[in-house]
Amino acid sequence: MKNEDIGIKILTKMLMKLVYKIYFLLRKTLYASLKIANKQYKQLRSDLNKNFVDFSVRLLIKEKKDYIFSFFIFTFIVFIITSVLFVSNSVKRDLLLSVQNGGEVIVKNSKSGRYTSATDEEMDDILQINGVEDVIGMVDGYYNFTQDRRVFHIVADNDLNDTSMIISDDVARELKSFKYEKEFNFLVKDKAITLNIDKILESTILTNNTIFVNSDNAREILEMDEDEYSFLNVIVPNKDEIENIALKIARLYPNLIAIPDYELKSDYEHLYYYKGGIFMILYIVSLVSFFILLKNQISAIYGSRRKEIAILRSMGFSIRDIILVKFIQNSIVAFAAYFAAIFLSYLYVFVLDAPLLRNIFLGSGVEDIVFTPVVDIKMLFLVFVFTVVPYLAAILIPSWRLAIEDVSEAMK
Amino acid sequence: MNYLRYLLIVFLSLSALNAKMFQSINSPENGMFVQSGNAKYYCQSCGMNLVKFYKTSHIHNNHQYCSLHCLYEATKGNPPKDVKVVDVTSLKFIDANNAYYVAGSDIKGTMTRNSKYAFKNLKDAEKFRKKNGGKNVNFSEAYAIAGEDFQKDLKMIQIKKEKKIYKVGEKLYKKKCPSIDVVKFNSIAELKFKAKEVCKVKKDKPLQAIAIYLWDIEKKGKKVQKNGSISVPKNAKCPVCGMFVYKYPKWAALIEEDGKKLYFDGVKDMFKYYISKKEKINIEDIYVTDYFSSKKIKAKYAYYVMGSNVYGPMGNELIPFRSELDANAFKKDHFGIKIFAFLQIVEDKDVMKDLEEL
Repeated sequence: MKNEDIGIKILTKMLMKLVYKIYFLLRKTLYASLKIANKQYKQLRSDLNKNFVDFSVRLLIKEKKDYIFSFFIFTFIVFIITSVLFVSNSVKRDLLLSVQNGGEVIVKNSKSGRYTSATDEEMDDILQINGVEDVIGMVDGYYNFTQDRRVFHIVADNDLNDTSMIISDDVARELKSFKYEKEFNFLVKDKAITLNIDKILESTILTNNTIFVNSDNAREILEMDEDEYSFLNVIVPNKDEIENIALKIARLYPNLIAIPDYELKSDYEHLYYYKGGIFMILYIVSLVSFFILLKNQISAIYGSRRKEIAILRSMGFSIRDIILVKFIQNSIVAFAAYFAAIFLSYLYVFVLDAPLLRNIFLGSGVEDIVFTPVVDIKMLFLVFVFTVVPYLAAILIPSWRLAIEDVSEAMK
Repeated sequence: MNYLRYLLIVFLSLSALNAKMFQSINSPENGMFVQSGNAKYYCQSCGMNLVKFYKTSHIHNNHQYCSLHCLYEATKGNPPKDVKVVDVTSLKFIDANNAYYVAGSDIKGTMTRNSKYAFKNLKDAEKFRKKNGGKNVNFSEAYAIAGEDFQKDLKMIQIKKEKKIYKVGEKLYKKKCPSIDVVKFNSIAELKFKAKEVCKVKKDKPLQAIAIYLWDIEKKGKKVQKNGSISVPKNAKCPVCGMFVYKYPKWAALIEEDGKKLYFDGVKDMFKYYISKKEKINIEDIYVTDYFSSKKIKAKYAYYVMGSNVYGPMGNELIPFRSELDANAFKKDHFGIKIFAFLQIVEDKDVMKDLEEL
């Protein structure tokens, strides 16, 4: 046997020994900690009997004056944060949905720095690029409704026949005020195009202010030629090639603007600037109210409750019991406020459609918009971690400090 | 806010409108159409609308063609004698041999990238040439240019047909037409006229798509690849490297061995496996995923690019392509070293060795 082999053997043996030692150590500590945890748990079980909880709740009801203010502030904070997040998540999701249904690269034509329509020529040339599976020309634009100085978004939908259209709720209301209830005349050069109102959709972020018509009708309304498209959806099956193909398109025609879908997606992800403006104000408001809340709660404990704690102590309550009473009371308040706030903000955003708040997010002219209900559990959990947890933690410390105070000192 | 700005820009963009195509005339009365029968307004060779492509049309043997490309196709490359062509200025037909052609101008041509327009007077041709560029040629030269470009243009048209027109045509035909018996028709022009009569389609473009679909696929029986992609079950592991294959669907390869399906996370591993068990596996049962389309293709007919800057889950890869054309284009874009066919890789042991050493 060579010397090297012996060396390796010894080394592996030593290593194995070390690994075993570490393993046993870990096992030991694990068992020990489990034992402690088990003991604690048993203690808690015996402490948390029905009578104890009942006592805490009764005490809470008796002292409700002290807690009602905290409850409202807590509800207010969580309500504001969750409503804003509900609105922004809903808007974001709808916009991302619109990107998902499009092509992997969106191509627009430009002339003198302004967007103009793309033609069959560009479409054919893009189709020749390797890696492009299909190019779909989209027709989409704006019709000027001169009677009321308003523009309607016209979107081509090939499932419709050439005599009907689908309009959104807010368009329907607008047309109704001009007595168009069953049909509408689009005025274009030299003629009018009359279409029947087939269906009315509720206006979400995607359908707001929109009229869906057949693509032939859309071209007529928007005065586009048969070989013109508002933009092109380029279908690229291999995601790795998207960037390459966008570059190739731009090289083919310098006027074409090719935007990969992931760029649009990230634009929509960062639709709102979370580090400033309205969001910053929101953070400051909730932070200040949170401190008011803590101050209120802590002063309540230090003030009138001081004697109460001393009495409980002299009656034989342990420090642990007193902290537990306070903990139970405050967690009931925090949890109740948290769930009430989520319920209220859900109602406010998805049933009442966020009056006031939607104007901040979407600007004016969106009075009839309906938000698609999107509940992001992760986001709610984050709000929970940043409100309920620090609140409970902040309450426990003064309770503990009062509980360890000398009883006779406190009674004075 | 970003998307409001985007909406505004789109809105502004739609105020600009483009002009019509140069080749078109406003109505059939302005032009001359010599063909008789139903399909008077359609090109004999490709079925395209002659009103739309009037200024490039040619007459030969009482058939009217939309372009020199179609004339070349119909005459099979033998320069014909009795050809008439449209004079762009007067829109009347003149003898092609006395016409002055301008080839390769900036104005777009019909069915070619290299446009050719004919004039009766040299003066008009010169004027056109000065404005739009190109060069003066006579008919036989123009015909020769069409011949030179023929294969290239044909390839371009073929790609367009395969990627788009067949799909659109099939969809429209199934949705808007009663079934048409394609056997009865002798030319695509007649077929298109029939489609115009019976289908609920008015515009020329969708009609053309239906006609091409019916003519090429239904009548001539051409096959279009309609493969899906290789669907990988979640628990499938690569027999060579042990990695889960479903995480890399666009690299998946498949070998069917004794009714069992083996999935690989790349062509390289598939070849390693195949070379080691060559006798037991039927070459027809091997599939790979085409890089560009992510579709399942037969490994035997694929082309493989080695040494590009695109890496698979196992590093350097042989990247499979449906056609040599695609493989060449990829090789150029991604700095590939060499293109191999299936048997080259199997028989030449150095290929796999080189791949490892890259």
